[in-house]
Amino acid sequence: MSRALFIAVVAALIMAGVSVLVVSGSSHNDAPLIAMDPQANNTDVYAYVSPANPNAVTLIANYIPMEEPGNGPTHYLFSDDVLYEIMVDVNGDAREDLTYQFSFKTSVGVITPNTFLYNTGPIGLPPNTGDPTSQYTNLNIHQSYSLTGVVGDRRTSHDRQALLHNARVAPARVGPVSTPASDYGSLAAAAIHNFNPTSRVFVGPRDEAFYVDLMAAFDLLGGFTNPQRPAADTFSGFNVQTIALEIPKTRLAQAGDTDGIIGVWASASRKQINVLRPNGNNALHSGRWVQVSRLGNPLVNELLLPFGAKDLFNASEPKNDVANGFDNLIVNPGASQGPAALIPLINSLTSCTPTDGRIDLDLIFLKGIDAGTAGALAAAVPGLQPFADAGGNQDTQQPGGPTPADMLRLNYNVQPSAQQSRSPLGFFGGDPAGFPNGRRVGDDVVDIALKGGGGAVLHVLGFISCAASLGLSDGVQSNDMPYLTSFPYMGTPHEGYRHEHDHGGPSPLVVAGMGIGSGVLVGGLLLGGVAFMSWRRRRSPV
Amino acid sequence: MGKARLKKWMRTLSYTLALLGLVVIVLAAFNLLLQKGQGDETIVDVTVQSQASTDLLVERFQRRLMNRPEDQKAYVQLGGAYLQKAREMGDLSYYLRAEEALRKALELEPSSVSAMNLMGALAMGGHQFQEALEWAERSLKLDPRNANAYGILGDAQTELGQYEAAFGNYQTMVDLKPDLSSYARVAYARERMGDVEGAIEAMQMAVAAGPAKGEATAWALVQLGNLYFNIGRLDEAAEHYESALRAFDSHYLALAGLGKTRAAQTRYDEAIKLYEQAVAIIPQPVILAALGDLYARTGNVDQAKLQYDTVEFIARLAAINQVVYNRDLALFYADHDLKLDEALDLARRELAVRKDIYGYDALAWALYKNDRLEKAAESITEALKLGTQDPNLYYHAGMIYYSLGQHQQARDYLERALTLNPSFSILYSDDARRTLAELDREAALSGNQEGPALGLAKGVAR
Repeated sequence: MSRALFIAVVAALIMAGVSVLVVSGSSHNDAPLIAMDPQANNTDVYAYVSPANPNAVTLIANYIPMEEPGNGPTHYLFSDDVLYEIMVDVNGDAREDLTYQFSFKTSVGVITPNTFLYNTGPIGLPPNTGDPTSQYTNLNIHQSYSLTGVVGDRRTSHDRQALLHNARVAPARVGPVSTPASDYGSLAAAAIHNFNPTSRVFVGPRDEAFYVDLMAAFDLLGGFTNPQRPAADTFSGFNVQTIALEIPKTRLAQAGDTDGIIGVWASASRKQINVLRPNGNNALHSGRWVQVSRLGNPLVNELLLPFGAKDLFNASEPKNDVANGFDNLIVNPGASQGPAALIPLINSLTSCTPTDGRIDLDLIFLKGIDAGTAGALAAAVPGLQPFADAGGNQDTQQPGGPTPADMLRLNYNVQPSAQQSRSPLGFFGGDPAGFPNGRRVGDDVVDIALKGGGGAVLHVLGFISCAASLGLSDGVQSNDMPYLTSFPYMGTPHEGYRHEHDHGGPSPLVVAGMGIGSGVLVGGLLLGGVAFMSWRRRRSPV
Repeated sequence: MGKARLKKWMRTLSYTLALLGLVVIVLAAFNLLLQKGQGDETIVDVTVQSQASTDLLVERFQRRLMNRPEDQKAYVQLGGAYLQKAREMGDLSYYLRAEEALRKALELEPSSVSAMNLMGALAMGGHQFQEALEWAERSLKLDPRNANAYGILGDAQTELGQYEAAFGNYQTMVDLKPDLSSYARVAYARERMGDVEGAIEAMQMAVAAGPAKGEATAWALVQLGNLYFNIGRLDEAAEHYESALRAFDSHYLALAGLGKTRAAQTRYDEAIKLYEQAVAIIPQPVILAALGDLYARTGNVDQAKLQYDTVEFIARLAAINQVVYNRDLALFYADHDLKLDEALDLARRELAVRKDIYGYDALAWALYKNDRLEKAAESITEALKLGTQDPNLYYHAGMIYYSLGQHQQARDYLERALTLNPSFSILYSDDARRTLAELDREAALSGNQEGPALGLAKGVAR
């Protein structure tokens, strides 16, 4: 029988409702083509002057998206096989000057060998909290990390300093018996370690600080303009793994910063291995690090870059962003990506959003806002005067101007805003200490990106007339959990035993009880990653 | 048309129709079985969730296309989701649906690298290896840095027997993007080249690089289980199959692997239950045959026959398009001494389009069963050329050389098979032992006191 006839037969059977159980031979190599890698998934980067300690800057990198708290804390440990890094460029050449490297070591069955039990009783403070290597009591799985500081090129420089070794990670917030609410704060605080001597670090689980109505965004932005239900934070009730650093401004100056402006990004890398193993060498000791995840500004990879550029972006360095064409993709999205890209899509909502020649996005994402533009912004939005006074956040240390690259740019001479004048909308709320001047935990980057992407900055400066851009929002204006007012600022993680997810209520097509699996990449769904989800149990509200 | 020819044509037509009718009945019956096993998708149940999540994706992308029928990315995503369904369910109809979605995606955007990669994966699933290779090459022309395309290229070349090129492309893949997919391929290459320790290490890295749950991680755990099984570490194999089931509930390959392990441990009742579960999900010929062999072993002749008959039905339907089952059916016939002519024919046809070492192995075994011993020896030599440490290959070689009278070689290979895994096959382990014992006796009697042949056995560290 010919192939065409066979197909016709099968098609007829399908139409007749018979499930055609013609099974595939398993005898070929059918390794998965695309697999999620949550432990190397860098979800967010934050950089801002510490409100509780304005002589220092807080740098945060979060990993492992959408951790379902009840799903067993063993699943959300950092990977021992991944190198996690936070980079700082102090002079605007898009190369790291300072890098903080984290490598983890996990020991399972410390108390009761041969079991995967997380704890054997209520988790208690370490016997010697002043010693970073002292571990929590009753913890059966120990995760600890080494922190290395590198000056210069993080792969080739010999200027490396071991800052911490075998430092404890904060435990998971399991439940009222294992980690009573009254105790958890002190347990987490015991995971803040000092080094150097006035720098601090925290590593451990936190509440997912990012908030967005992903399903509204996913529904082709239709949920924003034609909501059929109240907006709901898709990330509510989920946790994330946090690496947080507090670095004194003097340390940055010591590293060569002269203008108070730094560029920040983070990454995750895995070892490559060799198919052929000469002398049976253990690959883990001989392979080189290959970067598999990279993040600076929020939502660049997810929203601004096309589907086909994501892998390259994740593997690339900021210094090569122009060579890799990312600048063109960001500044001229219409011409370079077509009508399905985010900016043209936003234009279909506003009808006044320029889709090419976006000098505003060039400044916000690739160069930093220069002093002149900062002044013009402050003239239009008086609250932004401190940003203008500080000279904007475009680095001035390169004679020919900064190298265009995606990095989160912070002018740390702008003081943290007082509580009453803080706005999660950052610049669009007249708050000079919020995104795009760095990014604070709690800044509503989705709304800021929608407004900014829609052309709000151009509108405010009078280049275009597009008031509609100011009104863009996903409807979710705040996180589900409060943030902390002191380091590490990221909120207390949700409890495994008891927590809620807000999905805006059941929809006619989605039956109550279904949640979104971990391994979902925000932008992957939005603009098309082929996302193969692993399922997570949704806990019903108590 | 002459009367005789008309008669013959009518006979062929009625045979075809009857076969189709029978097939429809059989498939309808299996369809019922399948639905019985799965339960209502809308009920949130911990045990069904992993498959339901892929269904959710399919539904989502379909809905998206209802609103925007020109959304290229949604077609790509839908194609990918259907491919994932095919992986999980082993159902060919999902391949056809995936193809439809991906072709539409390429129509809308002819230079879509992701669509091309998925077309390559699709072609692999349908055993169209040359086509898969071409899709990968097209993709790489547009984006030479795409790790996934190197994976597809390597996969296709592996099946075509182009091992050096394949393994080079796997190296490029992991150099570009180390993750579960690329580590798994390094493991596969190492296994083929006989580096079992290295294969286990790389597959462990693959498991560690995947999410805690999901089909991809479960698949990697199954491969680890298979690696341990092949070297006789049965308890470890079982542990990994059980981990696979925790990562993706009712993963049919994990159920079958665990069943095979329990059979090797002579826990036959458990093995039968596990195989029955696997078959209820996907009536795959290899699994059906194994279940049949188990029933035969435990004296249930009727049940054994039922499985064997079903093997033929299922394989025949696919054999009509002459692509997916040639090898499995050839081995099934050869192993059960059925239709040996056809076994040889199938093995030859398969090898024509797929010159990998297991193609040569299947041909060698079919030749052996047809008493074409010299040719069998030639073929098995090809099958062994990479140095793969596989007890089944060694057993085949052992028996071929035994029949040829090359008893030293035969002893070596049978010894290797049993050293790797004394319970490597429910059909053949006993035969291997008996034959080896006979050869040992013979060697002792003839004064060749060499003892057990260890010279060639590499031995794997336990």
